[in-house]
Amino acid sequence: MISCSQATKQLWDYVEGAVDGAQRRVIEEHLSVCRRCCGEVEFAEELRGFLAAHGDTDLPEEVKVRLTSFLDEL
Amino acid sequence: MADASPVDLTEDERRRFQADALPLLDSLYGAALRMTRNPQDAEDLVQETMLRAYRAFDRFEAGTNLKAWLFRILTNAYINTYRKRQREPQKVSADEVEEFDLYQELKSHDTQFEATPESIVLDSLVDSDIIDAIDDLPEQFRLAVVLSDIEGFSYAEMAEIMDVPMGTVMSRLHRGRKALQKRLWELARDRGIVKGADGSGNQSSRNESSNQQSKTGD
Repeated sequence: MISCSQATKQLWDYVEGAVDGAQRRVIEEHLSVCRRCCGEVEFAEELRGFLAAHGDTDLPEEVKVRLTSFLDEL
Repeated sequence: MADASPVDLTEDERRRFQADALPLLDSLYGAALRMTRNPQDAEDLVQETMLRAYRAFDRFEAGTNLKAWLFRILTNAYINTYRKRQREPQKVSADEVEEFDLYQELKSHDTQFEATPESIVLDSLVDSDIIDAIDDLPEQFRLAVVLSDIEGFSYAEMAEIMDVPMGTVMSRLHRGRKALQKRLWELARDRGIVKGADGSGNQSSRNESSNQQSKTGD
């Protein structure tokens, strides 16, 4: 069984789906017995969702108009 | 401004480029703004990206990921043109970024937040806080966080876009997220949402007065 610190290093990758099957099983085995790391997984998912929802700036209308006409004139 | 003369596209290709690029303007501008941190530069950068992409469109393989392709051009244009022009020094250098884990930090200093400490911090922040925190990241980390967590690119796509090995992508992203968490935590601490390790709030005396800061005596 891997330790919390080993698991923590891979948790974000786990959340991304960027770990392979064998790694995934090792992490899930750890998660099945460790509430702390489960909390960290939830946190990683939450922060990721939060960034996706709040990190972007909307394209201002007047910029959109200018960029669209720039594109049209290409 | 659009010097579109030396392009050898058919009318069909031209229309396809315009139609396919149009819905991506939003994302491109958002990313350009996080890269340049300046609305005018961001707009110029998107225009330049469009121009470069248009001129290279005959080399774009139809059916592959246009968004990733455009982002690669955007990133290159930024690195080759805008970054050189921007004189503003990095607010935080990459060397200063340390390992920081917001979740563990909250757990260790504030046991009253048993359930979801992260929600309390995240809920206390507004969009502009997140944007400022991202803007404060060292460039390479900022780019990684924007591409992954805002634009949703995979590691493989990011490696293409940033033109670095996947291991480098992962390391920059890891460190970028740590730095971002630290920044968000500091913001929450400065506002008295969470307690600092030393029981106090404010270290940098930003926008709020100190009497609102610390809930604990030290």
